[in-house]
Amino acid sequence: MSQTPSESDLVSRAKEDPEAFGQLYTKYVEKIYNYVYYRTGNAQDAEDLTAKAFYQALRHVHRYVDRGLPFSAWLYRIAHNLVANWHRDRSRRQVISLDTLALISERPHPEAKLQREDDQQRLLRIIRHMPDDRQQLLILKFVEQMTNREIAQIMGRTEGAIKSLYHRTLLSLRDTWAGEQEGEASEGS
Amino acid sequence: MSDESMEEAVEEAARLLRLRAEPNADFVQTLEQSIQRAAYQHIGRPRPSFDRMVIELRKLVRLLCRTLVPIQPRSAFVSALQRDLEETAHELLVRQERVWWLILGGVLGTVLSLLGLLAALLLRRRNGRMDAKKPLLGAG
Repeated sequence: MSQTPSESDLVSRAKEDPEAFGQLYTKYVEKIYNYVYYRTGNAQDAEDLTAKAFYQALRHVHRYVDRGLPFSAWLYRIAHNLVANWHRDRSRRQVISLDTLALISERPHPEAKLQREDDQQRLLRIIRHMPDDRQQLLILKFVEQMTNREIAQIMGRTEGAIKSLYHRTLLSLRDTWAGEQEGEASEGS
Repeated sequence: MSDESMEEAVEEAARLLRLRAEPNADFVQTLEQSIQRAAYQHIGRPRPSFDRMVIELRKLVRLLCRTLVPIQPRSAFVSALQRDLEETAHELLVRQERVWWLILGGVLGTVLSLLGLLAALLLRRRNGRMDAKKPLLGAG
């Protein structure tokens, strides 16, 4: 995902032209929203943080220096920092996401569908308890369907380090998943 | 050691510290495997066989593909944010332009004041010289 000349031009124009910034916004708003959504787990916070990320980008775009990395790497970095602050500042009270509430209120579902949704909720919960870099890797790989090389550019690591991190993330996810299932089975018996 | 070379040495040391050390991927993987083996031994659970592990990982990846899907933000949110960003961008430009005019005005004002001061000084010196040349009344 190297920065195409047109994007590079767009970024330099965006420093003085609101319309060019608007085009960058249109191009990346969904990606940033998805990233924040999966990191926070609810739509309301995802909207707040996405808006903050783009306001910050707008205020600082004149300081952006093109180092050959995709512009999205810079945007993801802003979003990543905002999410980190959000996690730090969040109070200890339990937040139930609107999406989860919607899911609960939509019941009853056919059993298979219900089981699948339970699995998905559990997986999301496990993912949200993983270290930041592992969460970021999974979101970029599965939601954005990026290659290891693209992820490496965004996360500022080597391709080899990303491969290794992916491998470790999957194994750790599998272990946690299996551990939870065993725990449930022993509770049930 | 001169100040300059010391500064260079400090800068070089800082640069080296800033470099992110990345372990070799193979080393990390081997270490991971041996730690896993030790962990399974510790909890007294047999390590899953390679085939079982592959099957479990495949299942997990399938579940990840089903779970981590792109989400569409509300279109009302996207368009409202775009409108707000455009307004803010225009305001920032106007504010920036205003700052430039203020700076320009300040510089121009300073230059004009300096020129005025210089002109006053020159005028005063010339008047002083003319006064000195003027013959004293009643002299001679």
